[in-house]
Amino acid sequence: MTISSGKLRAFASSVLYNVGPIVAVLLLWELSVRSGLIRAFFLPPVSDVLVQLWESITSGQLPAAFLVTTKRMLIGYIIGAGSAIVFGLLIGIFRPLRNFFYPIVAAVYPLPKIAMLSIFIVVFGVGDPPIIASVAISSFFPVLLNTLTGLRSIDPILIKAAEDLGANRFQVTTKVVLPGSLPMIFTGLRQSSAVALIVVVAVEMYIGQSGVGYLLSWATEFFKINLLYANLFAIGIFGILVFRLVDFIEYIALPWARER
Amino acid sequence: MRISVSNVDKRFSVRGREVNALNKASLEVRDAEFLTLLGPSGCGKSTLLQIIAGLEPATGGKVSFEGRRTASGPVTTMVWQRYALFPWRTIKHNVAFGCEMRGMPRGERMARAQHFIENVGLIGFEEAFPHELSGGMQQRVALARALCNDPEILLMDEPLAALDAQTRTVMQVELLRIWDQYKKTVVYVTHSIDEAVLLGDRIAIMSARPGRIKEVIPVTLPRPRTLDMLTTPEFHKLADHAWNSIKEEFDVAYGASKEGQSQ
Repeated sequence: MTISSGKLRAFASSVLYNVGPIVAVLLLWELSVRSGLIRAFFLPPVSDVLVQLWESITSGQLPAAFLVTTKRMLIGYIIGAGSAIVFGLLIGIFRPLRNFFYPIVAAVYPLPKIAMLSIFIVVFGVGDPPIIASVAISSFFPVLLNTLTGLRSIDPILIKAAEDLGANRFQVTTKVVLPGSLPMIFTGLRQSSAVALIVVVAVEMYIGQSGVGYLLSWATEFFKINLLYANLFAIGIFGILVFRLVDFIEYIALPWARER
Repeated sequence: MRISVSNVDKRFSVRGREVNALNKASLEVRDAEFLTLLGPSGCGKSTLLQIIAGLEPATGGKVSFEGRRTASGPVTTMVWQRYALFPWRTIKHNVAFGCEMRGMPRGERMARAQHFIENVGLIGFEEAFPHELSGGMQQRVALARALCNDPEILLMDEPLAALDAQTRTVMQVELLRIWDQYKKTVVYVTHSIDEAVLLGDRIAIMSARPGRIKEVIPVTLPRPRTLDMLTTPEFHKLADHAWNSIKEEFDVAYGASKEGQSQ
């Protein structure tokens, strides 16, 4: 197999376009600190941050923290997003349920879910449960609302066509309404994954005894500026990986919705 | 199978305003006949078709079917102007949809779907998704899906209206070829006079709203029909006849809308 020079050039230029600006900013950062333009007290040289990042990784501190954080985030996300899909489908499909629950959802939705943390601390005490509960409730609403939108956004002609071809009500639901609302459900899942990451880090900073959020607040408290920036770098990279993972799952799950 | 439409009324309200879509529409469709339903836009052609399909209830009147040829299978199946293919299903699973809903075993329905995919000239596209196909190809899929469902009657709602002129002509020829094989009863809604004459055994002309069947014109052209017939004097005579009948209704419809504006 040979790779044509055109493809190689296209790949090289896409790398250049994507990585180039980032490298430029990092270089500017390094130079402005090294030259004394910005005080290293607030902004350590990027090379120091990278050294610290490497040490945090090899010492096992950062991997251990991410393991804890990922576990909390994943459990909360699965509980929140999973129940939102089930609940959304139920109230979206059965009109009486919808009539009853929709005003409640609309009333609760604007409440900043992070405020619920106080209740979770009262109910669950310390440890993982209040963190997981915060992630779960924050992941719940974006998925719920997008699921409901997805159910409503199905082209009515597809439902008519299915009925005309002999589908009964149950089949219309499982073979048309459900697959048709999947793209919107995935939109909700993508939004929720971003919210889940924000919430897990924020709650860990506030009440955590472990995890990346805790590591961040610890570094702040003891003014370990290199560690602080190294943790931010790590969280940023972790965030990118999370979004890419959701995109990848959607790519595999919805082959018909690719590149439309 | 014959269709008998007698005195069908349809009224519905749009934003609190009562719309009288059909008023005592009556029509007899013969067995194995290709009937084209022609009328000015907004006259209720599609509404009548959906009432025949059982997808819309009539406000009054009755639609009945007589002379079933086969014991199983649906009475009618629609082919829609906007294709109405399921975007998440590959072509072969779109075509097999009706059979799947009726519980036909997988092997049997896939073989059946394959037969119709081949018949409409889409070999090699079985695994494609609808959005990967052109409009003309999508309508071929929709036709295969309807035929695979094995209805007694095909109801077609301006199936070629969304296609460009050349593709439409190609599809008209295809439709004639395929119809010739299965000889199903067809009710074909169109707003194109040439299409109504070229395809139909008879042309039913609808009045402006509230729609009723104003006139039925027998198409005396021999079968099989070919595109050469478009230039024959016989074709022009029929098209003129249809056009004059329709023109009166356009005048009525235009007058009515002008009246509406001045209100």
